[in-house]
Amino acid sequence: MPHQKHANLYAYAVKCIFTYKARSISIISSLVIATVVLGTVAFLADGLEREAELSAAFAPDVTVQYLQAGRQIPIPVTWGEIISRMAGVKVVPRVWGYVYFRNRLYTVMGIDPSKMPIPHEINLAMASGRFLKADDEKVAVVGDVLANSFGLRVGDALVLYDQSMRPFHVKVVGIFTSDVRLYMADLILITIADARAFFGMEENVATDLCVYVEDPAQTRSVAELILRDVPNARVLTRRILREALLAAYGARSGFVSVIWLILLVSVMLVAWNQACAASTEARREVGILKALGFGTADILEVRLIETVVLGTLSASIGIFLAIVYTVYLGAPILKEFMLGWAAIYPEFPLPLHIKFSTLFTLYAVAVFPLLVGTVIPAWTSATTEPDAVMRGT
Amino acid sequence: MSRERLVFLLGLCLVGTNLIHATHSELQYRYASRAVSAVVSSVGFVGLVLSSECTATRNPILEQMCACLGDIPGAYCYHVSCAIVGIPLIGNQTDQIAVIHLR
Repeated sequence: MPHQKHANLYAYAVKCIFTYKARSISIISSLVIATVVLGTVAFLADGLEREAELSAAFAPDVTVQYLQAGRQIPIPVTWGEIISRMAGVKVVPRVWGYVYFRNRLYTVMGIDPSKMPIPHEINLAMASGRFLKADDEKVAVVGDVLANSFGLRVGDALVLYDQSMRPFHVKVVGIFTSDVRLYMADLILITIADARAFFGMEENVATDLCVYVEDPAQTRSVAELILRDVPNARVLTRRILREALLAAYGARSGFVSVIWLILLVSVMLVAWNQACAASTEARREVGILKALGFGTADILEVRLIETVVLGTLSASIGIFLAIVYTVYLGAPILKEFMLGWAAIYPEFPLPLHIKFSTLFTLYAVAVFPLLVGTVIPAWTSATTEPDAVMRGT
Repeated sequence: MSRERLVFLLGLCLVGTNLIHATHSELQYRYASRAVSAVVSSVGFVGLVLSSECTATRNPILEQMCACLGDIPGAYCYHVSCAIVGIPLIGNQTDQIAVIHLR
């Protein structure tokens, strides 16, 4: 009955875990703490990276801004007309800026609904009301955080004041769903004509230009042509935006790498500690087992099972606690470190992503160093003659 | 119940719970990404709410050494050329939003 033999060895390994309580508790507690910290940071960092990738993935192929004295200024629409003369290129101007309320910034964005590529799925992003239409005037679609803060509903009137406190009335026709809160939380979306009127911008300028290229393979050459033809242009391709965002969020979670190092060192110390403890007690135990008929392979199997059980159990508890801490408790303390100022927004959604790959990495990091720290001393003691071990020679 | 069975069941439950959470998270992202893609396509590139300020100023560790006041001469941010006014170092702004409830 080979299965029965392995079951017995498993039972003996579990008994060993309970017998050497101090050793087991020290390993489990250190691994649990390390896995909780690493798991929490990994889930948050993965969430941030995922959101950054998503925002860049559906951005225009090229975004063109205009610089003067190194600062961004409105871009003349005539440059857009020049760019749109390139084959297979479509240019859509946007106007955007900020308004303050109780020292919080809210983004006012003006788009041209007749020219922007609005997919049918836009309804998935609406909690109530509708998206902007081509013939809309003085209407707005707002983010759900903004709507909740002001108690806004579809049909309400929103009064925006420009820098000289002249009022600009818009009617709320839609509110974005919380699924897109990370992008639209503080957004007031209006038509480009309304945005120009509100910000006091002339008809012939825009804040930036969204450039769409028919053949994505031509994006780079189009970007180079824009740089050549438009003086003082800041040309941002989708790839550059993606890389910049990932770098920014990678740097934001920069201390992840430090935590990784701390985790690795702590796990190695635990493994070393286990190896030291095993060297004297386990050698004597191994001698007795071998005298009772256990083979070298059996003893190695017992040690392997013991290590895998300890590592898997510790990692499972740690990951579970990390999930509870982030998903259900909202990662207090660590959230402020990871998101910084974002905490100023009420009910801010924590960008979390629990990836399968991260889960398996956490298990591997917990189990593998323990295995390394256990197998070598277990092999040394398992290959020793039983009489020599029991006599202590 | 024997100890070995208890340990096995405990491990199984924990691994299962963790996998269920991971599956839920993956599915949630897959569904939400359709709404996100629709919105981002419709309005063009829009930064995450997190990064509507310079990423460094939003970091409590770095914000002490990063002014990010691009609109004040000489107070440029040397981390990112973000050209956005930072909130903490400027005076109170006038409120620019009001609401009229029509119901």
